[in-house]
Amino acid sequence: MAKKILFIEDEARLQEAMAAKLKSDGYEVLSAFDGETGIKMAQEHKPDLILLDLILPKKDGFEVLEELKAKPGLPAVPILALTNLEDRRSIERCLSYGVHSYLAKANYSLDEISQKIKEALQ
Amino acid sequence: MSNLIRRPFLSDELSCAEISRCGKLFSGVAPFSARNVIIIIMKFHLDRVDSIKQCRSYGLSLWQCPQFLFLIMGAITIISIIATYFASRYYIQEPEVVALIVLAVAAIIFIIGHIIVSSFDMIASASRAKSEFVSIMSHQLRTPLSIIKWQLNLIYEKHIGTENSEIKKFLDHLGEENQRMLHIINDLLELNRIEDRNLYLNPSNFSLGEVVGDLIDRRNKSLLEAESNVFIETKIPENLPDVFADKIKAESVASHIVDNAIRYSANGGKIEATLVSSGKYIKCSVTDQGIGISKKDQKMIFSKFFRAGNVFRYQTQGLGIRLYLAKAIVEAMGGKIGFRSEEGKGSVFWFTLPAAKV
Repeated sequence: MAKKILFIEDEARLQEAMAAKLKSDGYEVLSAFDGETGIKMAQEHKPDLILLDLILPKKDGFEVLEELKAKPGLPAVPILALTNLEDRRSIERCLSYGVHSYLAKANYSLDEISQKIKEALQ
Repeated sequence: MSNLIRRPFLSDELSCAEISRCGKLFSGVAPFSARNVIIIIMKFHLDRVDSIKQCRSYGLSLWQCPQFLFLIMGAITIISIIATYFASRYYIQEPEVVALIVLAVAAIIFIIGHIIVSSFDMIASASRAKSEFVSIMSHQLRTPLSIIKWQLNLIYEKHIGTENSEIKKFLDHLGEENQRMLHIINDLLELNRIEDRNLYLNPSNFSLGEVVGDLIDRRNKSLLEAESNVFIETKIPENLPDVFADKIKAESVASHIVDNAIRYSANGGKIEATLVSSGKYIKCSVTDQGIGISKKDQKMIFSKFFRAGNVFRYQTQGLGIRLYLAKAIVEAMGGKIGFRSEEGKGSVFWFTLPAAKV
């Protein structure tokens, strides 16, 4: 059965590109365009991995992390922070929530992100 | 008198009652009673606590921060006034006159100090606003550039593959230019992080020899493809101890230095990258036979936005911050960076990183 990946990202064109790549790699892709919907979808669909942007409408990525880590069953799901914020405070805050990797969107190609997803799912 | 002493001693945050009490302090029966002096000093210190927080927000140590130095200056001046008054009581018939003169001079010093501190505050606020602007703009620009990058990835994967068409050539150019913009923005963001003391380092033990070796293999491949007459040789000893540093940042420093050597060897020549261990540190040196740096420009080489005169004549691209970034990053990782150069003959740039503890 295809592994489910939830991508929480408000930029539609990034969603589109990532979904196309992940589907061609054989994953099932779920898309959420804001933090609140992201949390609901994570609870409802129980994805195998979450890709999370940090600057999001309604609830930002940090709030999403805080809530996901408190939900039963979800703390074990690997989360990859996929953001263009690269300052020390954001990185340290994310790592304190136990994210698997912290990736700057602009610095990674789709192939490289796909490789990171593969590693996180192993 | 109260007007003179009010501004320097007590900032605007003080209430009118407190100000008038200070006025009385110097016109009353016991102008320098120990109790009143202690009250003034305490008030002064309490009012400046916020300023100390402000110093931290500037990212300065207390001894570099005008607000804190102003506080110290205030305390020293108050002590000096009191000491002058008591000393003059023993040696001069009218000690109050001496004390008033000292007080007037102190007030002028305080006013000037206050103006300096306020001006610094304004400059710091303007600088912070500029830095925030750069940060916001850079983040805003990174999103569309990420979209271009990812969409190009998809076009290559789904429609271009390995074919060697004219379209592929144009797409290659788009990808390269997009990457160039990302490099510029990344450099500006890194500069901002360094200046805001917000640089993230993730140190680990790794082989600098492998990092530099791989980097040079990639550069030699590109030089060969571009039919360049530059070639990079490496001297990396076997069994070179690991370093303890941030691997990605160390690679970026090595690539700044190697890329500079290539860029400034436009007329060809040999480039040599050497790694040696000196016990506590591993040293990486890159020697080129390029255009070198004039004596005048050598002092400025690690400055921000500096481009050497002989370089700028034919190489107009670049922000001139890479060596500044390299220096800041190497020093943040506990290493050192330096160079020697002779105009027309070439340069040697080197950096060290701490060896990993066994």
